[in-house]
Amino acid sequence: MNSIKISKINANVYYDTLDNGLEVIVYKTPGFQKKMAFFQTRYGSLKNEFIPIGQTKMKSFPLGIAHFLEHKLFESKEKINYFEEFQNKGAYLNAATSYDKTYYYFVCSDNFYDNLTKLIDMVQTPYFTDENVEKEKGIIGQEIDMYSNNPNQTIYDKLYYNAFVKSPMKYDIAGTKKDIKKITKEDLYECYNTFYHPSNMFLVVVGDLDENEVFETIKKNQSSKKFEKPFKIVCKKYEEPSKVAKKEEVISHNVSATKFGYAYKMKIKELSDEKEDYKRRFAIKTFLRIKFGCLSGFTEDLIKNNLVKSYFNYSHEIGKDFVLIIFSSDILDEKKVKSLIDEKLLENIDMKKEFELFKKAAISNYVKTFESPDSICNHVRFMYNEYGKIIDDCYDIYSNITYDEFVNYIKGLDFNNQTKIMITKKEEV
Amino acid sequence: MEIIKDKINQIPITYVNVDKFKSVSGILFFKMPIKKEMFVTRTLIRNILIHSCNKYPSNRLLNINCLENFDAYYSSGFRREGNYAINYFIFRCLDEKYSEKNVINNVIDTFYEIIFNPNVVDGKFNEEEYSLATQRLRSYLESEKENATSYAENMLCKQMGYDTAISFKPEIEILNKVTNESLYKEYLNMINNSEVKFMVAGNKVSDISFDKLFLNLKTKKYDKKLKIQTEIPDSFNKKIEEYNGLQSILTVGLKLKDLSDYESTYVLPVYNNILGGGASARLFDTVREKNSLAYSCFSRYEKDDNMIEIISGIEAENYEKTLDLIIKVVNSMKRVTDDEVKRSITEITSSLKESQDDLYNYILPIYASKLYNEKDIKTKIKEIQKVTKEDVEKLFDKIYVTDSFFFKGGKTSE
Repeated sequence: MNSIKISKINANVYYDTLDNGLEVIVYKTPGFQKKMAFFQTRYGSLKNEFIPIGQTKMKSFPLGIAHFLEHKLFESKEKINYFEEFQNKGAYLNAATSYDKTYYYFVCSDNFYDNLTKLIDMVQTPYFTDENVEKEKGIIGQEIDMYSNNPNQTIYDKLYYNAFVKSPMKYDIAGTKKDIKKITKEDLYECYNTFYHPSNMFLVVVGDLDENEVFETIKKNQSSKKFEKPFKIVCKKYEEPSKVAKKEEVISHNVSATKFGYAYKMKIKELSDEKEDYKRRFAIKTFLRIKFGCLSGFTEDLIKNNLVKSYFNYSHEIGKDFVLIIFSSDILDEKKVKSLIDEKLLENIDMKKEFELFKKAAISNYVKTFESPDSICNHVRFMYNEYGKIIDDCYDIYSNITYDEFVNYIKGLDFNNQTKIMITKKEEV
Repeated sequence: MEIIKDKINQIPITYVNVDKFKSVSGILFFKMPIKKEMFVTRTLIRNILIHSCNKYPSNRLLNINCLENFDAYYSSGFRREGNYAINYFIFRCLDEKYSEKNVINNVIDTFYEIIFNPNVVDGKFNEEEYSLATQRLRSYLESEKENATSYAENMLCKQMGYDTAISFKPEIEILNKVTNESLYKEYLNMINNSEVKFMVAGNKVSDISFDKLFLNLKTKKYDKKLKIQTEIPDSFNKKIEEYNGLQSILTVGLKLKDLSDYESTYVLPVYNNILGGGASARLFDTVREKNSLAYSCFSRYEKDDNMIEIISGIEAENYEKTLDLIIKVVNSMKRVTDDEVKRSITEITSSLKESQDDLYNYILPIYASKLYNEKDIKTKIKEIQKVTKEDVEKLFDKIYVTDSFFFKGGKTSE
């Protein structure tokens, strides 16, 4: 077992890699009641074409299969109701899927080790049948409808779809009802066996616990199971072009007033140094906060001048080699607002004062991460998913990043590749 | 953890000295009997106050001050608790151990300015701030059907509440009658005529002076009953409204009658947990797991309103079937098992313990326990562990399925 001290926080992170390749990370939170374990695979909706374990040819799977698989790991041959089992031990059990990960977790205050073993066993004992796969299609169908029912979510979904050409980022994580109809139990086993090997997974434990006991419990559990030897997973690589797939689209939805969304897609150079990548993420987020956030007055001016009705939101998705900036609003004067966004993005002004203020905010938010078991867990999972390790001196990174570095990170951003979505009111029923 | 109680100008102050967090957070409450129009006026007031103030007359200037103080955070809220309206204001900032000397004093100053020194000219709020807040609220109200679940819940409450506070919700007609002058008067009413409380939690917070906040503030007492009891109708009241959305939302309302304080505080959470509190509850198991009708089906209780709401998103064609199933599940609550009771108590106990890991919970539940005359978390855990199967089954005769509201969507996605 190794440990790393987190700078300025007075905390140690304990970590180790087991013989089967599983990485285990423990963060101790003395005085806190909550104990939690997150069992995470580096597999989400983006990995849809790959060479399944034991095979030699690239194979394509129905969209939404990673999310479908997440639902199905709650089934067992013995018909165990896992939700009941965990509740019996005072634990809350759940799971989630995103583009690049799927995770299963519980949160409890007592019976931690029973729950930990049960979580690992649940995830490592798949049981798929034709019947239980069919049953899930109705449930997931309603989950898809729940998200599609929200017009704001639809703006995001459509912008992603139209911004990306080849990357599976364009597709909804859950797929469509049509996609999930095609999923079979054989598909699920192939995906499971490929991506749920311990060497593609990690387990994060946070709580007022003894690190030795945590490692021993996990090692004992894993040593009683047989796994294939760790192997390299080959997934299809997508050469995503700079241009967007579709420049504009108009759809109708359940809205009271017309809404617009814009996505600006840009390619960025993949950085091999994780600290550089971490700093660049901070720089891009800060750039957007300065231009459109609480100090900019941008939204207030748009409302005051009757250019938008009531809101103007911005958000971003920052990957290793791309950035997607999204704006959405109930715009009244589309041409004017669009040109103001473009002007704002390209405006070359001194942002030093704002940059220094957001640096302070970043330090504060980083420190606050460590006062909540939930946010500690999220931070550790982000680090392991993105970088395969903890960056221990984020405090110093935020303290020492200079304005010149900030300017350098953002100067190469190209705002020319855009897509627009307009959502209009459906006719009354 | 140490709790110290004090009073300044008769205003009760609670200091919670807890050293495991890296922030300090405080909350100031203004409580008074609710009126229908407060859903509009008090929402506008909270939005205007938190956006700027006299000392920092624009949102940008206020935010610069927040960032200078290590991203100090201020928020405000309005909510109804039974027959009472509550406006509250929160600050949260980094402990000086991790920031700089005087940060907390600066934050208390800004907190004071936000609440007590608003951006006002000639007996009115700053005109720009007023119109921004009203425009945003108007737009929110005009688009209320875009959030189908929240709309269906509101309509169910309106249907079940008759003319009580349960049926109150923000309405455009009320917004149209509000003027800047009348809104400022309502602000003064909130400041001058509320029952006021202050709670603060963090490392050694009892050593910090918050006196500035209470310089010219007084508190009042109100004796209006907190809980709302509505009539149980003779027949089941079903309503359907169609809309342009994809998914249909089914809400079902249950009324509670003659629950003792013990029952509503300790037995009702167990009852609700078994009925629809989570993924191992009866509603989830029946509607989702056994019949694949919904992604989720859950219930939520409002003990001060004496009601339970059940909510589920379904396909329009499954309306009758789902409604029948939900009613059957509620009727099945006549009998519960020892296992279900034990499981629910374990889960509730666990979540009570875990709630001590969030700084906000140190200030919010203490207020709630004052408000409801309840005990602290340890006593609550002891009491909840005494709840029996018989206690839960006894509730069956005090709970009535009275209403449903179906927000009927169109075709679902392909």
